[in-house]
Amino acid sequence: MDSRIPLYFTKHPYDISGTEKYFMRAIRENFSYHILHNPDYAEIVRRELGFKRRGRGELAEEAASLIRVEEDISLIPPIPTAFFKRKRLWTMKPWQLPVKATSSGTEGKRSEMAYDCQSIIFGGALAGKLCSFHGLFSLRPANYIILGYEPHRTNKTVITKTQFISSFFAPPIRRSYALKYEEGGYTLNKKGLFRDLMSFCRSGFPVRIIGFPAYFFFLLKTLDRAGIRMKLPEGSMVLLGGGWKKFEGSKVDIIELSGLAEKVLGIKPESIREFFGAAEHPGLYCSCKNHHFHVPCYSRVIIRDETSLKPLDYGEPGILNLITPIAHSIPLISVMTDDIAVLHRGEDCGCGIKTDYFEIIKRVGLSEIETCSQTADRLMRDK
Amino acid sequence: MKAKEFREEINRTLIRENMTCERTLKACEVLLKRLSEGCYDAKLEKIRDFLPFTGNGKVYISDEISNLINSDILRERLKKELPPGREPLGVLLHIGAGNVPGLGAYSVIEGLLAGNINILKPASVDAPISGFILRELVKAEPELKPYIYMFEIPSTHASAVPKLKELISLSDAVSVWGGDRTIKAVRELAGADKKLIEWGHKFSFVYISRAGLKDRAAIKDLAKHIQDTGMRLCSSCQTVYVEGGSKEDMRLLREELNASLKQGPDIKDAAETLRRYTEKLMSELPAGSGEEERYDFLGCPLISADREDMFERLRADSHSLQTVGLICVGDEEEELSRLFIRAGATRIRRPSEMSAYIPGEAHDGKFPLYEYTKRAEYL
Ligand SMILES: [Zn+2]
Repeated sequence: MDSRIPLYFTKHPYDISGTEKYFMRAIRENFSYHILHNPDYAEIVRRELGFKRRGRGELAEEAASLIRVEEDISLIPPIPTAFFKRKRLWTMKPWQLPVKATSSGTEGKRSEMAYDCQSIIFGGALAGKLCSFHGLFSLRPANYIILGYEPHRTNKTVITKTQFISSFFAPPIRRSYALKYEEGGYTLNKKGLFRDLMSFCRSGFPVRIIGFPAYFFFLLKTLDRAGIRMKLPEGSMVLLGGGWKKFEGSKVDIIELSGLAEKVLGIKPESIREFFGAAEHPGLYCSCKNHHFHVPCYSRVIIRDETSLKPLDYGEPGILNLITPIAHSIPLISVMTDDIAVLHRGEDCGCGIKTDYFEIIKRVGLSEIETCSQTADRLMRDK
Repeated sequence: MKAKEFREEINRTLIRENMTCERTLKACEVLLKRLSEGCYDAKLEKIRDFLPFTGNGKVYISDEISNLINSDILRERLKKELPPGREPLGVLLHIGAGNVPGLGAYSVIEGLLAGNINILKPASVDAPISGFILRELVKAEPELKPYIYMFEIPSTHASAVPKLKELISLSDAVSVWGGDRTIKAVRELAGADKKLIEWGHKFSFVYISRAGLKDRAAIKDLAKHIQDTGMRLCSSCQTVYVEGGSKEDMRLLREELNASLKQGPDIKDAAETLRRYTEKLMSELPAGSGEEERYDFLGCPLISADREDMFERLRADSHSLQTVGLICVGDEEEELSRLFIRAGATRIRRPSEMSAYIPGEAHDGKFPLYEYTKRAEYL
């Protein structure tokens, strides 16, 4: 049987000890699957692990047999997200992959991701388990403030899709978007947003604010400066995700952010939840009531030294490397993001979840850089 | 400040006697001295965190600033670019771009040297660093205060257009830095009668002839140039053309470029590690894997080209060509240089010197200080 089934359909999303044997088996299966079916990936693995040239079947078997215990997972060559932006490393054929998405980023620097049917089902199970564990589902209808992009067929980014999906966690009454699609482009809908927030507040139904943390911060600052104080209806929530991106410079920590939210919107800090995810990593991390990202049983986190890329111990900051056995579409088994993070022992949090948690310190972030190479791009296209 | 008061304040400054360039030079000297003494290190370190640029942190930024405000260089330029009898245009609006830290402030300093009142709208990524430089200049020479204004106008903001229009109406000329899109947008805002001084994004590239492919030292210089400037500057190499490059040639070139990178300085920076590691994985892909194999080095495309086609290929973008780095042998030099200058390029250089600043050199074939002044005739 596919070891992913008992893993993704386990009852408790943070039950690592009960699922460890499935996880390890799924990792080995996934690793050998990609070596067997993806010649490019096989060549990378062969060269990174220093194997002599040999058949892919033999290579798959030998490479997978190296991964015996959890510590061995770090041997799987991590693929940086930047790599996917330059090379489609798809194991399956495009027509086999029903869902396609791109990571956000400046023109020409996106990675194209695609997911197979099975991984979509497992992904759904995973997200469902996590969100219900954290009490994010509700049957009470809610009004939504979406601090992000209004969906449009031209917008294929994962984050816009995710934000839209999260607006079904409670039955939606109305949605108000910060960035509205008008006449072929997005415009900032500041006035409309404030008006809607005020009227939602009076309606008595819970309000759910979904969006980028930077936008939420700017919204709070604007309201605070204008001396506005509100009390969001009982059951309201704030769900943040997508990182600070180009606003890295204005970043405030989540404690400060929730303090400000309590002051301005009258919402309790534990009603503010953060998500962490990456387009190149089909996994989800939801912060606990202490605002920590605990690692669920579906994935593992390795922190690597910023120079040698060697795995680091707890408490040492380095490059975030995410492990998941979920996808057959693309070898996303070990992906290295642009984030600098630290791993902490689970018991240090005290929220009741026992698994380790990580903290994002900053982004290495190169994507927003403005280059002089537009003409080069155009020349490339014309060719 | 209300628009009306602002206009009045500017007019008061305008009728006063011209500000001399000596004051600006003096302020630059003070700033440079403090910079070299490390007075700004902590501050710059802080600003660096706000910047999307990578590199060696404060060393990098302060080097960049030092180059921009070196008063010896500026004096040379004054001599070369400003013949006698030139008068300031009056009020200059600078619309900055974000590709070089401090670019906005630099443009303002040029405007000051030419004797103008300067209003800067910096690119949002450049605002912290340009704002810092300009504040420090005014601290060093308070007399400069009425000649420097900076407005941060986020371009996504609804009020951006009316605000910019207001600023344009106040100014005698607009100096705009940026890509084709920015320049087009400013042209539309400014209307037909406003003088625009355009510093567009430029395309610079390297051309390697058949014989040049064997020049290992030059290829090493090229790797260093691409690594150092990261395609950020208008004069940085943004594409490498390889004369008649076969697949094998392209692979070998990429390997050679990567190899020279590995011998480079060991930069302890996660971004650099990730970049190198990605590059290493890219080079491990099997030859000819997939139909989409592109050759590039640190994101800079390597393209096979024929000498006969180059002119045609470049012609469509002649207005944005700037620097050409040549790797070839002696007797090809003249022919290739002529070809590229005719195609629209303005500078031919060795790869190691593509982005080197040479005092008194024209920018895009124009002298900024000359552009920021007018010829006046008195009785
Ligand atoms: Zn916790």
